[in-house]
Amino acid sequence: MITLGSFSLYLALLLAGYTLLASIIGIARDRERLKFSAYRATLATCGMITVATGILWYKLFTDDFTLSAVAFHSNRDLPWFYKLTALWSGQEGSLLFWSWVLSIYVAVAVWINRKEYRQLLPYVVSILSVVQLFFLVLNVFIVHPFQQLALNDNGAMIVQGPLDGQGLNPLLQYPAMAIHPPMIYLGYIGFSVPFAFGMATLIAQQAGEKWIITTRRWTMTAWLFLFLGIVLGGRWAYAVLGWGGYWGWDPVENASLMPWLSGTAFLHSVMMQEKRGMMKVWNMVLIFTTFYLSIFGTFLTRSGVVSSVHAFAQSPIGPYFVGFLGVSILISGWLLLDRLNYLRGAQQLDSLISRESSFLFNNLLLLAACFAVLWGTLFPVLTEAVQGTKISVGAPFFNKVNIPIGLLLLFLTGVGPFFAWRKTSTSSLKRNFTVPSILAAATGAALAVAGVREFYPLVSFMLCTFVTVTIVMEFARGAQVVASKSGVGLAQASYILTMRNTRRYGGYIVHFGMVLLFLGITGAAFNTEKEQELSPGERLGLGPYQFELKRVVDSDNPNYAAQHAELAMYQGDALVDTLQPERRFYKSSKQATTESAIRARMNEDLYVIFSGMNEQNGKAVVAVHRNPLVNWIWLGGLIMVLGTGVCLVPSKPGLVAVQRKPTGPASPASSQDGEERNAAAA
Amino acid sequence: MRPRPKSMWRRAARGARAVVFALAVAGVLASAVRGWPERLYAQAPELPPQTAVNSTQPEENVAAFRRITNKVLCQCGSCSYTALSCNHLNCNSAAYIRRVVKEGLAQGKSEEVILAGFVEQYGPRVLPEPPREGFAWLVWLMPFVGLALGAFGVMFVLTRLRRKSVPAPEFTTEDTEGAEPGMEATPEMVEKYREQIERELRNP
Repeated sequence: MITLGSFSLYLALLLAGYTLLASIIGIARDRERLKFSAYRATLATCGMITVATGILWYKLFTDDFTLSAVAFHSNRDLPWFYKLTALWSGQEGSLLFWSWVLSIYVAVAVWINRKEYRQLLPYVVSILSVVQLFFLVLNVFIVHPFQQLALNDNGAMIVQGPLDGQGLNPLLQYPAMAIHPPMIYLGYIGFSVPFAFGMATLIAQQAGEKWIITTRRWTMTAWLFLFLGIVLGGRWAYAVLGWGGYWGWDPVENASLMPWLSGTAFLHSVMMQEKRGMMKVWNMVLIFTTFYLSIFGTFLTRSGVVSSVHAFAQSPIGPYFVGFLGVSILISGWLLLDRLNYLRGAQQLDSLISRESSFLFNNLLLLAACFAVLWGTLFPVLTEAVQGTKISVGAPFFNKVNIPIGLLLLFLTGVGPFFAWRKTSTSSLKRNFTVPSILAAATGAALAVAGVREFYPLVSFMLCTFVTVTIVMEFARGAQVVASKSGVGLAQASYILTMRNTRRYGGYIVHFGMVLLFLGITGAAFNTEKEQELSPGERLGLGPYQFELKRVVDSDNPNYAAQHAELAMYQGDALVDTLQPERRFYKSSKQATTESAIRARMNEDLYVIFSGMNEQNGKAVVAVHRNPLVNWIWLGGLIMVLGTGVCLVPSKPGLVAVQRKPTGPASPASSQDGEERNAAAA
Repeated sequence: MRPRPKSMWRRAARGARAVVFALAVAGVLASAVRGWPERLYAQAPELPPQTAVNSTQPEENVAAFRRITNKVLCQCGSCSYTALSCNHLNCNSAAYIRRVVKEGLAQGKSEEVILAGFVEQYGPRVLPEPPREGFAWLVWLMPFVGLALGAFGVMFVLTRLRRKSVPAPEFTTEDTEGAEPGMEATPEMVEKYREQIERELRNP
């Protein structure tokens, strides 16, 4: 089995090499059959890596602890779901998982595009095979997934697995965390395809229009997965790590955020190329940056260059990533400069107040944030290299820099969609922004009166109102037009409106989700907390609530031993709830975790942590956090995901509603009252 | 699916519904900010003074303790939390730092002295923010430099693109005056539009 697994990987490596050679020679000698052979080789590569991955999973499920990948990340009593996810919890397994997902993406990309992009596809395949080769080289030669634990017994090497594995890190035994890596990977790896299309366009000396159209859905899907992964990671940090926060500006968190920021810039900037043929070079730069940041992101996570809570064990793969990145950046930079002439587009702009300029400012802000995060994350490494001293750059820096940028972005989200292409008239501005501005100002005044006086939260709440009102106005106006023409209700009219132009109205939904995200994040400015030692019967007070310790209970199961505190939550004299925060001791990995008790409501979370017993006085150490508005973050994230889903659905521009006709001959159309049908003539 | 209500009462009802909805939304927003339980329920009864985090800790030092421990990073090497928020149960570093701060406060040391002690022991990496001096100034400077450079870049691109462009044709009312749908175009109008098409085709 292990031999079969290793052999499949070697074969996959050879096949990837063949793909590269066949596509290059096929292009150079214009041999169609070689090109098709290369396409099929990508399918075969995918098949081989699938075999290897399947075998590793089989080994995990059958508890074969002779493999180090299994022994260090699984144990006999681990629930089967976590044995499944243990595949990507270690260095070797996760790199194999990366190769596997990449090979699937490549196969799908080739298969979907094989007819339409005859000219471009061989170049795309050659680029993708280079990336695949890089990861396969890591799999086969550097961190082999089928590495066996060997013991040297009096000069002879024998393979012997321990009786039981070390188990999965208990912090990772949580559903959101189990699927967080696949989501992140689907995002990172997904950017390889648009990257390859961009590079192919440059190499093939094409004018740079086609690749945007074909890769739009790819990029948006990869971006969506990356976003999901980031939000799941935040949710995990909040629910499991037990410090009451969801984002610590940890280097690895930053590493996933950066390609997401540049990816967002790209998704907006491509609209300028689609509608006006502008910014072709810049879009190339953006997609290259996003891909390189993804590779860099996984490099930061794996190499231990910056110390982090996420870091895998130290391994020698760092220099390989640096080499790959360096060479790729040089080659793509050279290519871009060399092929500039082919990319010249229609560059014209009539007014500073136009959709084009708002997209440019959008890009500026997103990339400024991306740069700030990159700079802050790498600064300790830089300082150590230059000065020799170790310093830390933590949350205070990132918050101070990113909060103003984020608020400016929020403002732009509200005003940008109302700027017309080329030029926006003042009367149009007045018509669109008067109501939102008034309502935003009113919100600010109301909040100030209610006691909210801090600058950033006030501005944030006002902008949230502003953007929400602009979005509602957009839907309302459009829906009213549709409703008056077809006589349907506003709700159905909104649906028709959205389906006619899914990108635009799906985009508004995503923006609205973003507003809710900002709302939730702003709540963190009002967090309060208290920690206290309690004996049974004693109370901790926070705000209007009292938490009384009833008792501390011990429990046990094969996976872990646990101790939980039962706390009764009072408001005034009324018993409102019972919360049971817990601490667990995992037996096989000998690690302890806290399971916080969260009472989640839309206005606030009550987040209770039981840290254990104070040995000296036998009291339970309990901490309570009050986190206002935090659940709007998860809701906003969900709405952003749904909105992106809407964007991905193809538009139906001819969609109309059929209204029931009160009189006249019965016809098939009129008997289906209220149903939509595509206008056949359209 | 419902046709627009014709009667005045129905319209008033719809208006009232909208007002009620707006009030509800406003109420939710306002309560989300202030926390509705505080207003709806009676004030909690006065409890005896809370026992502090540690029974040897005077009351007023609790806030200082939390503030100071939040300015020191846990040095266990596997987390990026402050000593206050790190709750890894077997973390020796955070527990040690918290003890040192407690003892320092009990001895009456000021915040600066306690923090300086940590910097002396661990080096500047124990602080979550690099000091604003020397090389470390760059960490604060560069994002703003980057933003400024980017802003200049954007303005440059915008003005350069503006200068190159052909202005969008302005249609005044004289052009379309007297025009009716289905009307025949006069030769002057045809000539004017043909010229405009030529112009735009030359400068795409």
